[in-house]
Amino acid sequence: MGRMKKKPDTGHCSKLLERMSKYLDGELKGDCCGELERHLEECPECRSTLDGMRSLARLCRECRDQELRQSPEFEAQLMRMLFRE
Amino acid sequence: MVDKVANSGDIEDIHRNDGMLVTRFREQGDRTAFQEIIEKYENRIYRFGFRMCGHRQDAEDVVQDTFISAFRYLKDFRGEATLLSWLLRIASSACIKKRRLRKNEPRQLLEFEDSGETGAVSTASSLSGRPSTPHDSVAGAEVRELLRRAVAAIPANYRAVLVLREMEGLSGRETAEALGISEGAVKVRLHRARAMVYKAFESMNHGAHEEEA
Repeated sequence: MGRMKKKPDTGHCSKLLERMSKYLDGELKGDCCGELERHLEECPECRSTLDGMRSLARLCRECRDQELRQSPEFEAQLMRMLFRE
Repeated sequence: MVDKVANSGDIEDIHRNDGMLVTRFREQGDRTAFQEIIEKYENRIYRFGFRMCGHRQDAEDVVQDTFISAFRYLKDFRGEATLLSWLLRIASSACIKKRRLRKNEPRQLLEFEDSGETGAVSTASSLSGRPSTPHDSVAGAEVRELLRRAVAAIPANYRAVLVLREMEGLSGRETAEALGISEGAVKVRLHRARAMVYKAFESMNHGAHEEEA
């Protein structure tokens, strides 16, 4: 699999990372999917990168539960601004 | 948290209720209906603004600009998109304006104001999933900080897709409506955004390790 050179994680080409992202979403079909799976079987670095991509997606999803709040007085200020006579 | 992401089964009800609020405000001039819209969505807009701009003040400005525009232009809302998508589209434009205003500032000011630890995270907590170390218990916050910095480092049009799809849990269709692009473009940008964030994260993490060495 010539296009998937063994490099450090930061050296992976963007196209390969995008392909891994599609694979994780089940969007990689047919030959592309089989080709990637065969490569993953023989390449520990790419398996590690795929795990990293999976962790990244999980970390992003965990942000949904993160408490992010505007300042307590903000809503009152906004209402005053909108509804001032 | 008040603003949990809706299940797909709830979406039609939300759409119907939002339609009623819009009608009350538009046809009866009912200000309490608009207040309800603000109470319902201000935190969603704030979260989006904060993740896009990286500043609490900017995020509040984005919320303010969004609802001022919505107040003015709600009469033009046709209900073709969800109300949330419509509001996020306004917010997205407001974020771009904010970024333009700040483009001459040093790069770090575009990142998150409540940044904590910026050193290297333990190898166990890097995205590559390497073996655990004793530092793991303190590494969670550092990983989240690195993630925020990595997300802040990618171009805004990709960041917006990542924030809405992954961090805010919008569907592909809602994201497309909010950004005025096709669902296909959302998928393309999402994969590209993940790749960019992954590279940025790993690069920042390796850089921090090198500084420590």
